Amino acid sequence: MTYRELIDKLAKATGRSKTETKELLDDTVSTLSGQLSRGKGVSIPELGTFNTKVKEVQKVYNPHYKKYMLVPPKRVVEFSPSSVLKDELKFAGKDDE
Amino acid sequence: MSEKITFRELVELIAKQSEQSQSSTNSFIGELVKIIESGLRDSGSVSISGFGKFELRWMKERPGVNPQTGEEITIPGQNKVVFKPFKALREDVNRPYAKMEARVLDEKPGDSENDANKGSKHDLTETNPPLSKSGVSDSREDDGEDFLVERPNPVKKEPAKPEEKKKEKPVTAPASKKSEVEKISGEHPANEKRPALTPEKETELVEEVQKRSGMNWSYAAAAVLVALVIFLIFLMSRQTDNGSENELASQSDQLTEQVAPNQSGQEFAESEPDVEPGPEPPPQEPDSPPAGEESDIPTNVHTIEQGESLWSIAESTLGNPYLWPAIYNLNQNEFENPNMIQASAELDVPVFSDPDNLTEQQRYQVAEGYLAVYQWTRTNNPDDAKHFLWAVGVFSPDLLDQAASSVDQADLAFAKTR
Repeated sequence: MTYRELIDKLAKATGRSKTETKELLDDTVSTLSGQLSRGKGVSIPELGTFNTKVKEVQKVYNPHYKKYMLVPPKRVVEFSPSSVLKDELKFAGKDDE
Repeated sequence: MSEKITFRELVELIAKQSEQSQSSTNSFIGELVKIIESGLRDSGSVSISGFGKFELRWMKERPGVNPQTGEEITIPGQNKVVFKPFKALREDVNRPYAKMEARVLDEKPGDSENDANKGSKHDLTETNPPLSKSGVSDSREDDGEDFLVERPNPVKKEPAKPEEKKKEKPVTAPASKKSEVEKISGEHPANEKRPALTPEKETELVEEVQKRSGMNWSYAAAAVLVALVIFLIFLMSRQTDNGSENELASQSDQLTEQVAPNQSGQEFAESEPDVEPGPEPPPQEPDSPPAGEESDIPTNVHTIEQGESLWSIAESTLGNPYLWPAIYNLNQNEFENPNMIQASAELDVPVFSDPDNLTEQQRYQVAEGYLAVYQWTRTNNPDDAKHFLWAVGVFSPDLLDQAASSVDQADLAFAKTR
């Protein structure tokens, strides 16, 4: 589903205009991003938990240069889906269920 | 780092920003979640512009073991929900670490000192385990100091002894200067240390990553560049202020990033020179102002709060987390284990006016700290200790020489070869 489709559906579901929906969605996203970039995690019920995690330095072999490299630490976003979402979608798109 | 805000707080923040009521924001997010779910169900992926993409990924059936009974089972195939943040979000989140660059290590298989086996297996197994085993502060520190060296380095390492010099070089040493540079460094005694690397390869490498080895030939070019960078930074930091380091960081190019963009102009001028007592002062060193050394050691008192580590205290008070051993060094009487500090205890914290350009004396202080940490780790966790000893050499080769007789010889060899 593309962003446009998402907004269409969201606008319909919430009874807002598309522009309003887009603004509100942008605010949501920017607030969420803002919290994450400050290293704060957020749980959203039914959806899951966003969190940040610092990856430590890694020493990797670069076959191109035939050298070892130190890859600096970095902070990444982690998402773990809620169990509700996980279970709901466990077999989505498959005929098992 | 692992703090969280509650969903309620999030809703409040969004409501405030969008000037909507909290209840409508709440129901909006509820709808959003439902639509994400249905979108995942129908099409397998949902993208949200500026944020990221949710996707369903089918995990095939695979064998597994029941951890409680040890019984072998088959894990049935199922969907996994994955979230891939888009670039903007990734960069935002990674901002505190964005200034660090990957660095090529000296040990390549078949290097003169390490043969292939040693270089590959040995080092991997040696360097990695301590990272995961030891406590937060020192595991980070352990590898971190590699990066530490590289940040302030163009300014302070270049005038150092040959051993130190060969550790790094700026990314942007222009290829055009190479021939000239080679001539110059040819006269330099340190030249012998230069590993056999073809110049072409070096240029290639240089473009991508920061090197720590075999860079004597570019030493002179580096010195010239450093002078330029210093000038640039000085100009920039005069306009922007102390606090605007982020802005500065984003403005500055590759070059300036290496010189740790958060140094302010005045401090820079005061304590930049960091004159090393190297045996042969480099001929190309640009005009270096006289060293502004402080003879006494000013300290502040810091009261430890819940959740703080020496690492985090060093980060907040000294401006550079890798300097934490300096704090440990001043407070060894209070506590012995550098990984364990007591909340509400008081610490003496040294005052470093410009953490990115320490004076010789301050570097010595930090090195002493690392030596103390080394000695503690040596008795308590011998495998990790050598990394601290190496850091001693990075901050003060002199101290490493002085301490040579009282440390483990294998560790010393490690500290010297890195």
